[in-house]
Amino acid sequence: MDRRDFLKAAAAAGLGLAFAGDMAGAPGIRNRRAAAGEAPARPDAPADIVAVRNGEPEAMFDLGIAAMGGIGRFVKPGQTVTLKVNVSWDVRPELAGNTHPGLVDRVVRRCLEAGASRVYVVDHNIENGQRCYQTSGIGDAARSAGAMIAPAEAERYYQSVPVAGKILTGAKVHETILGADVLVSLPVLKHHGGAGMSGSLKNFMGAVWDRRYYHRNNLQQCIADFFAVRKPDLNIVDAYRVITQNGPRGGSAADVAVMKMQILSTDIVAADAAGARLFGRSPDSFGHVKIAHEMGFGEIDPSRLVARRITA
Amino acid sequence: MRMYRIRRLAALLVLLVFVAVYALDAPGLRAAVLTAQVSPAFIKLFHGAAATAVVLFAVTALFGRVYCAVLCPAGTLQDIFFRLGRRLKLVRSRYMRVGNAVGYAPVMVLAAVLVVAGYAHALVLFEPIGWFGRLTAPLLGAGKDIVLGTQNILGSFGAVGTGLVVAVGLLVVVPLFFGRRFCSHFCLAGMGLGLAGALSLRRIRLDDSACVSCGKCESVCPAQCIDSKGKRVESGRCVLCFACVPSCPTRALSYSAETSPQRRDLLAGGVSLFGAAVFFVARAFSGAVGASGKGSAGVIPPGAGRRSRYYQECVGCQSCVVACPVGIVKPRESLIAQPELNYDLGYCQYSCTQCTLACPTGALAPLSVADKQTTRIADTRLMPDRCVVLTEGTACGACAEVCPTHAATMEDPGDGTPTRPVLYPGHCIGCGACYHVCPATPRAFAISGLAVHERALPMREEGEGLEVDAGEGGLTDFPF
Repeated sequence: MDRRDFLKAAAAAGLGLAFAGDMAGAPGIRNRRAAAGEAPARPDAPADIVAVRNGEPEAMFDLGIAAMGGIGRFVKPGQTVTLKVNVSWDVRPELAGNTHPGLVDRVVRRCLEAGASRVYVVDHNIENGQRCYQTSGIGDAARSAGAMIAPAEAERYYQSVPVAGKILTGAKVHETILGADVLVSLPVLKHHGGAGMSGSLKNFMGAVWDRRYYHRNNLQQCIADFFAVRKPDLNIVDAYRVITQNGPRGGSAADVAVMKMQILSTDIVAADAAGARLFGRSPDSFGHVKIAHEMGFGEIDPSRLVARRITA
Repeated sequence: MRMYRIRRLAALLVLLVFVAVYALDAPGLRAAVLTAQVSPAFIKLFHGAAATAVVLFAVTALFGRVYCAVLCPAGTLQDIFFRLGRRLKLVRSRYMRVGNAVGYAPVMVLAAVLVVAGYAHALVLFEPIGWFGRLTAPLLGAGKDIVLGTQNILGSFGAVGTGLVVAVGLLVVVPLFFGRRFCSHFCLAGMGLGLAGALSLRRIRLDDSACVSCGKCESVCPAQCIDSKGKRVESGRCVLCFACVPSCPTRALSYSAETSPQRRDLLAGGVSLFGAAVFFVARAFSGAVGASGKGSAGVIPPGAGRRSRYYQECVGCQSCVVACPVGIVKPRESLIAQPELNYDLGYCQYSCTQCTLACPTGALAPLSVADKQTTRIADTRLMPDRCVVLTEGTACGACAEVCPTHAATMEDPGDGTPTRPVLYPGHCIGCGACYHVCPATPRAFAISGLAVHERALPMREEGEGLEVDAGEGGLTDFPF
C-alpha cells in the first residue's frame, strides 16, 4: 500500500503541473480550434502532436510526453491502460518488425508511475504469439516493467461490437481495447505491401479477431472504419528503426532504415500523416489515412494542431 | 508379491514420465525419453545405430520382456484397464492356445499384403508407442486448450479423428475384456522381443508338481499365456507383470532361471524372430522402392527430407504433433497417421524447428534454423485470377505481409490501382503462410507437398518499398 500511495501522490503532483493543459487538451476541442484557424493559446501550451528526433526511443518518449503536458494528462490514478503494441512477428528488435522493446518498457513504467491501476500490453499476433513476444523482447520488457500481456490467441478474448463504418459494420474486438479507461497506440512505423504504410491506424487491425474480413472487403476502408468503435487517447509512433521495403514483416537488415524519430499525437490521423511524410509521401497517397481523415477521425495536416518539434 | 509391487510401481512411474514429457513443452527431452523405446531403437538400426536395440534385446534375453512390463507406456495403460476390467467382471481371461506363431501370423500376412500393395508405411500401425501417442497427444492437447482457452474443445478433438478413436479401442476398450491382446498379436516391438523372451534366462516358471490346475493364475494373466491345465507358461508372450506369482495358492509359480529350454520355446522364438525380420525387411523395402504414399500431396514436416524415408522411419509417436507451437502438425485423417502439416489450421513458423527436434527416430532430421529457412517442403502456386486485388479492385497484400522470404510480394502495376501479388517460387519454402491468410474464396494459392524436399534460395532482399535516405544518424528533417 505504501508504494501505491507514493505513486498516487507522485502522479497527483505531476497532474497539478499539467492541469491547465489538461483542461484544454481534449483532442476534439483542440482540433476544432485549429480547424477554425485560431492561434494556439500560448506558445508553451501542451502540444497535441510532437516529433522528436535524434535520440534513443526511451529518451525521445520522455521528451515528447513532457512537451504534451506529461503522462498525467492521459493517465489518471486508478485508471486501467491498454497499450496496443505491434508485436506481429517472430523477429529480433534490430529488424524493426515490432515496436521497440525499450520503448514499450518505458511507456509501461510511465503509465504506472502516473498511477495506472493496471497496464495491459496487447496485440493479435500474426505469427505464433509466444514466439513473437519472446523474440521481439517485448514480452520480457512488458513483464519486467509491470504490465500484463493480455492473451489474444483465442476468439473468446474478443467481443462482438457494432461498428458504424462504411463497410465494417461489426467486429470482434479484443476485450482490453474495449474495456480500458485509457487506450494508447504504440505501433512501429513501416512500409506495408498491401496498405502502403503501417502506422497507428493500421496498428488497430491487430485489435480485431478476423483480419481476413478486412483483406476481403476493401482493406483501406476497413482500417479506417474501425475508429468508429474507439480512437486511442494517445498515439506514440516508433520510427527509430523503420522497415522501408518488404514490409510489414521485413526480416533482413537491408529492409531497415534508422530514422531515429518518434511521433506523439493525440490525433491518430495526424500521427500517421506525419509518418507518411517521414517516408517522403503525401499523407493522402495512403488510402486509409485519407479515408480516416474524410470520416472525421482526425486531421490530415499535422501543422494545424499545436505542434512541437524537438531534437534530442 | 514383492516383485509384483515393484514392477507395478516402476511401470506407473514410467507411465507418469511419459505423460509428463508429452505434456511438457520440451521437444528435446521428449525425443530423448522416446529413444529408449523399442520402435525408435529398431528404426535407428537403419541409421547404423544399434546400441539401444542391442541393450533392449540383451535385457530381454536375460530377464524376459522387461520392456513390456515396465518401459512401454502403452503396455502399462493396458494393464490399468485390464485391472479395471477384472474389477468390473468384464474379463473372462483364460489361456489362449495360440502360441506366438498363430498369434502374430495375421499381422505378418497383413504386413506382407500392405508392403506388396505399396502401403508399407502402414506398418506404423503396429508400433506400440504410436498408439500411445495417438491416445495421449490429442487428450493432453485438448486438456491444455481447455485450461489455456486457446481453442474450443470441439476444435481440439475435431482434428484428431480416427487415430484417437482406434487408440481408445486398442488401449482402453480391448484390455477391459481381453487384457494385452495388442501385445501378443499386433505389437511389432513385442514380436521383435518375442524370441529373446521365449528363450530368456530368467522367466516365470510353473512347478508342475505343486500346481493343482486351479486356474487362478490364468484369470489374472493379461497376456493369457499360462496354461494351468497343461501346467506350462508360454514365455514368449509373457509380459512379466508378475501378477500370477502371488495369485497361486500353492506357490507353484516363481520367477527363476530356466536351465533347459524346451523345443516349443525355440519354435515360438524362431517364429517371432521371423516376424520381426518380416517387419524389418518390409520397412527397408518401403524405403527402397519409395512406393509409400504415392500420389499424396500432403506436406510432410521439415526435416523429413524424402517422403518414402519419412514413412519408413516414422513410428507415429506424435512427438512432433505435440511439439508444434501452432498446432498444424497433425496426423492424417486416414488411420495411417504419419503426421503432415495442415495449412488450414495455421502455417509453419519461419524460425521454428521444434518438430524436427522432437523426433526420436530421425524420421525428421534435426534442422538448424538457417537450414529450415531454406528448406522447401511444398510447391506453391499463385492464381492471380482469384486474388481480391484483381476481382474486387481493392488493396490486400495479406500474402506478402506474412511471407517470410518475400517470395510472395506486392508490386505496383503503375496505373494507380492497388499493388498486386507476385510469387518468386525460387525463394518459396512452402510454409503455407500465403495460403493460410489468403482471404479469397477459393484461395488464390494452392500448395502441394514435395515428395523430396528441396533447397530454396535465401530470403529475397530486393523488393518494392518506400525509399528513404536516412543516412547513418537518422532523419534530419521533421515531418511538419
